Amino acid sequence: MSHMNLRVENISRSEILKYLHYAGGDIPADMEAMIARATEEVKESARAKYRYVEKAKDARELEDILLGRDIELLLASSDRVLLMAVTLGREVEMLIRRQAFSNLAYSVVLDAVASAAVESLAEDINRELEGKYAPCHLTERFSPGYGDMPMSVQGPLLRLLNADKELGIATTAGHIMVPRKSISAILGISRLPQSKRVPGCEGCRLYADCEIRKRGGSCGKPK
Amino acid sequence: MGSQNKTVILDGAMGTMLQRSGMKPGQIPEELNIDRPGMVIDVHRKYIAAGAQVIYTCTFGANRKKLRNYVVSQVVAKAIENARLARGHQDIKIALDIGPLGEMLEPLGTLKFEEAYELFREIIEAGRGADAIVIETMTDLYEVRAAVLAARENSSLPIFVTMSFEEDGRTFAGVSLETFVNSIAGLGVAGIGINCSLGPLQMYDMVKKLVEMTDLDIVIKPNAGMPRMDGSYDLAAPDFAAGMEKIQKLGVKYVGGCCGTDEAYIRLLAERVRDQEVAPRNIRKISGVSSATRFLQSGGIRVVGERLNPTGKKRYQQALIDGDVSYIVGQAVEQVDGGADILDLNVGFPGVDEAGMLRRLVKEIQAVLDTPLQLDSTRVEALEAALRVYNGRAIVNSVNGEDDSLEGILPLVKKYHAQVIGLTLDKRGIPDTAEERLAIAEKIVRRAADYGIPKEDIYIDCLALTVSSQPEAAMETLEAIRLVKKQLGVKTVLGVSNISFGLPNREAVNQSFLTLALYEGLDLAIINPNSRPMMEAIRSYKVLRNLDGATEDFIRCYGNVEEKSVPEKTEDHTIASAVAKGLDQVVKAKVRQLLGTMDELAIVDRELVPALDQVGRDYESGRIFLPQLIKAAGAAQAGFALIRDSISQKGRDSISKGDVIVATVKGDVHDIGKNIAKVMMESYGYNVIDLGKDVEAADVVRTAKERNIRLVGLSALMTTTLDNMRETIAELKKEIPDICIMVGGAVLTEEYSREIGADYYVKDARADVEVARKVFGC
Repeated sequence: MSHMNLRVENISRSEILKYLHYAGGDIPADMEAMIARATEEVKESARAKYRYVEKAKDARELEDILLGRDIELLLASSDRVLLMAVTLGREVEMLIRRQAFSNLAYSVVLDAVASAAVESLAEDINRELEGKYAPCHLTERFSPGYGDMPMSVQGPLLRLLNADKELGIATTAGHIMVPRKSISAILGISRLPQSKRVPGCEGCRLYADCEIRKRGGSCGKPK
Repeated sequence: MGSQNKTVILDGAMGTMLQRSGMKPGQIPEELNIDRPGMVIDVHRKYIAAGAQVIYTCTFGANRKKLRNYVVSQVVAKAIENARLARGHQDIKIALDIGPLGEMLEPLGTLKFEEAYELFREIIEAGRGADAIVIETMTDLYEVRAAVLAARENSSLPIFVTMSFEEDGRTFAGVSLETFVNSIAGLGVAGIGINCSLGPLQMYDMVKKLVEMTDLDIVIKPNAGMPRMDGSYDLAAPDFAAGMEKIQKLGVKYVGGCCGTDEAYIRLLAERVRDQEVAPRNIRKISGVSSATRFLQSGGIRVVGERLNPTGKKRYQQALIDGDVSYIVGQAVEQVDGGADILDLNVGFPGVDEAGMLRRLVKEIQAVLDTPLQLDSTRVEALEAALRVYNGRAIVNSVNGEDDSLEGILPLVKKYHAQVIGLTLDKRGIPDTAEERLAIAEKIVRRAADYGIPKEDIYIDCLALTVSSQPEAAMETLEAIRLVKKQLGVKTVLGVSNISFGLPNREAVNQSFLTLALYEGLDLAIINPNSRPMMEAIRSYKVLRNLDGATEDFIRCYGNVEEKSVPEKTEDHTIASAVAKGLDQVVKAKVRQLLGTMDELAIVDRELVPALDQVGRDYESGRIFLPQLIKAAGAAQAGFALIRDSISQKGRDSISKGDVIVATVKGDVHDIGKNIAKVMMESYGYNVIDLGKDVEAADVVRTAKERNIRLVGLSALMTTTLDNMRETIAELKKEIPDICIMVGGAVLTEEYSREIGADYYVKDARADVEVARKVFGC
């Protein structure tokens, strides 16, 4: 088990642009300026924290968490699993909310930057864990709501991480994590190499709200 | 609890001990009270044997949200019974333990303040057999307020409150010691303090600050140090006890342990400090106005934004009538950006449900801003409604020298621990002389004292009269401020702008009068913070008075003007290019020019709409970003506002193309998509009624009926709230069969939107405009 405060250092630029539905071409100066300002503000106001725990796959407390065929497939070669959660904290949330009333365009940029920031943090943690568990391999991150895993897994997963007390993450009655800029996930630890990111849209974590996909297109990247 | 001035030992962790006794993973600890009472009684006995004088019942999570197999009253009753069995005939106090509900309250979550109150009430009513109530491990001040009010109103037991702070001195929700103490210490609680999250060493500096801030008894219950990788804590029992002894020496009366502590920790702690004298404290009570996360110590010069007041403000009046919350919140944000420290909020207007609207706006504004509020009404029920849901410590504006006013409002000020403004007028009106106003102020201060409201919490308003009709009025007001400050030692407040009524160049007069009033000792200046001269007067006065940070603030505000970018020139742009670049000032200038030569509707049809269409096409083809589309819409909207004004000045009908309701459905707090849709439709000239987020189906139906709405837009971002969308659609269709409904949101698809009964699926930020065009035919 580990938990600690984090500093938001690097936020993936391509990730920010993706959340802004960037489809190629020039980025005008005013957009660049908004992104730069939002990046600074998100870094400044974030109170990021993360935590993970390691459990045996057949541990009793995972019974109401490892639900569905997809997670079963993902963990096929693992007998231990990691549960993790990371959050940017509430301050970023308030920042986005306030700007929605004075500068909606900027609020949208902040929202995109914050989404990219928490994603980047999750990636950093992932890398750290990969190092820590080498020579074992880690599976992809899998979150409640992916594939056939119900959103209702969110509650038990966060409880196991003691996420309300340790990270300040709570859920709403509809299993939405608050603060919204939070990620919770399950990873398998395996002796066998794991295939990374299923290519194509179906395996993409942006599947649900991808504007490009909804318009019938594809970003073309194996995500 | 406990004898006067002797240190009292509390117990240690319950969960840690239950786990060691073999509690199964996934088991709800509170339900063990019924399933395995022996296990719980055993923990209590161990703590009593170790020297604890107060035991907390095993009810931390005994609320309706967390229990699975039993109801709250069963569990709480059994928990108290278990504690009593463990106590036997010993002189041990039983505290009803209440932890967080486990679900996030509004505004970030969807659990309403009123629902939280009911959940706590249920526990408190079941727990009347305890000797005290402890509300602990809280991180959200709003939840604390709900719990404390529920405890006060449904029990007569003493209440103790502790919150959990991180090492940076704030809770997860951003609450500081100052905002916690300022809001809660005067709310009728017996003790206040800190528990969980940190060990005694990390907590020491915070406790040192806390013991000075309040004269209440202090409760400290830290963890057994900081958590280690394996889930254990890093302080052994002897080190914990040593750390706690240092804390006890600061003047702390109640000491115990939280996560990771067991009977060994409590035994060593009891050996060191039990029954020792509580050390004297150097108390300098804090007092001021605060929100959940911002505290303003009384005594400084503060700007109170005056603009959320319907007097003479047509647009604001209309917003109150229409329930146009986003306009009002926008005005609040604008004032804070201008420099307001506090916002006055007045919603008194014919046809407006004052209590309902004041309560609603308090919630909406505190969801967005951390600026403390001044609740402006003379109606008891409106003030009570607002004070109840206000998250922090508000100023009540106002009472006057009349007995009715004092007797009606002062009890509320006391109950909700607010500060209060007293107007120096009574049934005779505003007295002419400063001495007479002082006399009324004296009466107000005296009567407040009768209710237990100290001088520090009173602001006297000596009232500015119009100098054009009463030439001596300005000097009399200034004299009154001087007298009130000197003789009564209270703070003062003044609405400055009245002074210049009926004169040209009012701001010049206001500015001079403000400076004079500040010199006489004015504390709260109620002004328009978006007026440059008024803020200049405030900021320069602070520099001249050599107040802390004033010069830095002044330079920050006015030092870098030359760095500002050169404004775009109107002549360099067409309406189309100005809209495309989102240049609202240029669009306005262009529209103004055209209004001289072109019909209003022609400007809309031939200029603004084609410009927006082009931007929309660029967005759809991926040539521009979403924020650019929004900026363009905002710029077009600015042009539209001018056109509307021009039409209404000519007395013609408005040019709204149709009324549209937008709402984010119940349970969903993601409203960015809805906000974007709103701006897009407004930019095309539709009148959008924004019901906000987490909206009940019944509210959508009622508004749609009242306003004869033909088109409703609903958004939902989460799969979990799609059922609520389906339900809202069903209700709407049942009540208004020919209504059109469009839906949008990340998880929706064309197919699914048909399945849940929507007429249109809105795939992106601009598709809503196309739907509105179809529905309204324009």
